[in-house]
Amino acid sequence: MDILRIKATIKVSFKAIIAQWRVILLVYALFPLLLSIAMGSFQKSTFKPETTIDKINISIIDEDNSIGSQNFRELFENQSIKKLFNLTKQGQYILTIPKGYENSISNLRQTTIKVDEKERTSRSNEIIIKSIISQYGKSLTELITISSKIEKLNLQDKAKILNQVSEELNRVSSETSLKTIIMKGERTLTSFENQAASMMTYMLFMIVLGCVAGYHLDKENGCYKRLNSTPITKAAFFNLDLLLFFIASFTYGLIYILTFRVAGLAFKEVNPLIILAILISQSLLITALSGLIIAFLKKQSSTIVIIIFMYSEIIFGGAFIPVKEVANDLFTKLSRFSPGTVISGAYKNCILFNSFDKIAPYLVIMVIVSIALYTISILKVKIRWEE
Amino acid sequence: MLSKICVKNITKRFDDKLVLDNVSFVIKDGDIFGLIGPNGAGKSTLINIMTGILKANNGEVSIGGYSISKDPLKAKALIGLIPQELALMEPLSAYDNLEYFGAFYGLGGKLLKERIKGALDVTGLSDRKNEKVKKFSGGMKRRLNLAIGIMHGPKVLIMDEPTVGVDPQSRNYIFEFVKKINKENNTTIIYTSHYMEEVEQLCNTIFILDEGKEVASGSKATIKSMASIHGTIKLTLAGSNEEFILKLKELQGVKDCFIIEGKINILIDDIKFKLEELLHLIAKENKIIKSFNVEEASLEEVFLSLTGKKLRD
Repeated sequence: MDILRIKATIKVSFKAIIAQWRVILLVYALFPLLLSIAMGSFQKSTFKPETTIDKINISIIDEDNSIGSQNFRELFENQSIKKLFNLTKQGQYILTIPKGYENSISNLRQTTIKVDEKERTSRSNEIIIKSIISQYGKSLTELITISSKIEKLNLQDKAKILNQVSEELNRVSSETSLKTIIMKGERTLTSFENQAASMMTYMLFMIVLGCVAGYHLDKENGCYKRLNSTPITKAAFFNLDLLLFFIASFTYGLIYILTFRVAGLAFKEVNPLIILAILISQSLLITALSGLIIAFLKKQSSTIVIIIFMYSEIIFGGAFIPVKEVANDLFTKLSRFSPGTVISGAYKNCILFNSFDKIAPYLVIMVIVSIALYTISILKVKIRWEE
Repeated sequence: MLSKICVKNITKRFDDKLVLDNVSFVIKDGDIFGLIGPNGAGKSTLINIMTGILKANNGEVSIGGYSISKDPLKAKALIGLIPQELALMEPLSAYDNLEYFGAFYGLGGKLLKERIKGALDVTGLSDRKNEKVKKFSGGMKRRLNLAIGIMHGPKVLIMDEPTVGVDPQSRNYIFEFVKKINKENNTTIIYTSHYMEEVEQLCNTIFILDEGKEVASGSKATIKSMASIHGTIKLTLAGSNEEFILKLKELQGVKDCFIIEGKINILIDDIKFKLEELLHLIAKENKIIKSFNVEEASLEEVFLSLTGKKLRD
């Protein structure tokens, strides 16, 4: 009998979504798209690409102990590079400078700096480290080649070329140049992508509001009474409600993503499976949160709570106020605790890195929180609910 | 005869408010049981407890021998509920609604299709089955509401104020429907209403509830005998009668007296009331009688006599 109910619930959910397609497209496609275009265009001039790269912990083992190897070590102590790396004894990545490194470099012979990953953390971190070493090596080789040629030149030409070389050196070690080098192989968020990822957290609470309002509408129009008068337990009824919420939140989230993808504003080159994984985890979270709300709160209180969350997303979520531009410590701290941070973080990383590794921690958080919320809710329902 | 429904000492509180106070009754197989009382009397709460939607603080309800609290799934399988609200999904078609709710009663496949067809035929909605419910008239929605409630062939049909906001034609349809399924299937009907004339017309057993307490119960005749009023004199007199009402109330055997639509309604206790005293008072006050009628007391008047208030207050 439960299978019959599950099938009927799935069927009726999709039929209801199809029957209300105009409203759903307006709320979950057109409205966020237009808002995102407006906000994205507005922020375009001031938007600074956000990398969302956490500091990478590295250790360097110097087997050469030469001036050359020392220079290499100093590369990671440079102020601008320090923003990305922590030089520590307990690094996630161990860089080994081989014996004879300086000698090989001076004689323009190939040498390899080994990068060991202590544990699987991120493919993108590995790419960043390797690209820095490669760029450094390339620049160093160029400089040595040039200096060996300089030795053969007259004084005037030497001075001229030395000037060019110092300019080049400055470029290599300057912050701006370094960023360019690092970013060369990596993606950055456009203002529209940032908008799409951030606004999803606002949409999240829109969906929660929709789910909870739907439940209360069923209570007001008598469907709740009718369904609960059938041979069904309250826990089974609650679970079927959650199934409705999951289908709705997955569909609305999918519509949102597809809208941005079709419009060419975001999620363009992202692996669909990664998007699917985030969508499923996000829908679980929305479902569990909506379940918690209907299990514990009455209509009025639930509306107030959801609206407070929505406003906190509007203020701290980054979709409407560019959080990074606000120079207020309290605001910045509060924005870190914005409830949708996990979801927007997952989407930003998925756009930036297109890698399961980078979104996995977010997915784990979403699933664990969902399980915790569901456990609390179902216990409440089994003990006492709507009585 | 085994009782189909047994309600025993039901008490329900919402926070500190006592909504049902030790309510008990028994409904026999095939009865049309009228549960009446003014708004806020506790009728819907009682229905919710009987259908397992709410839990009582005290007491027990059994349906067909199954306790609603200990064996809820078996007890609920015998019930069909027609809620006061139009419990329908308006964006969907009538067929979709029947299909969805039918699954919750454990109907599936061929059986579900047969039952949907049967319910649509009985309620005369076969031609409109694929139309969205939001396009239906109020009467059609009520009929679909009935169709969903009976599609699984319940032994007990609970109808919570089914005629609220219904036009006279649809109201008559509902009356005929109730009589038909009671007669043909011996379905026990619990019919709640605050329209006394509906209950008077349909029900053979009546339970009057007010402020969560039983006021009276039994057959119509039993209840009328409990009220100590036996009839109503409806009188139309020329001129203003406001002060005259006060004098009428002082007559022996007059239980109450009020004006409805220009007519003076005098509720009387046959045993004590003396017609000559009334006529003597009219003559003494120089009132001219325009019309005079004696009627048997209605349930509405009985309710007024028992509770001191009108049913629709």
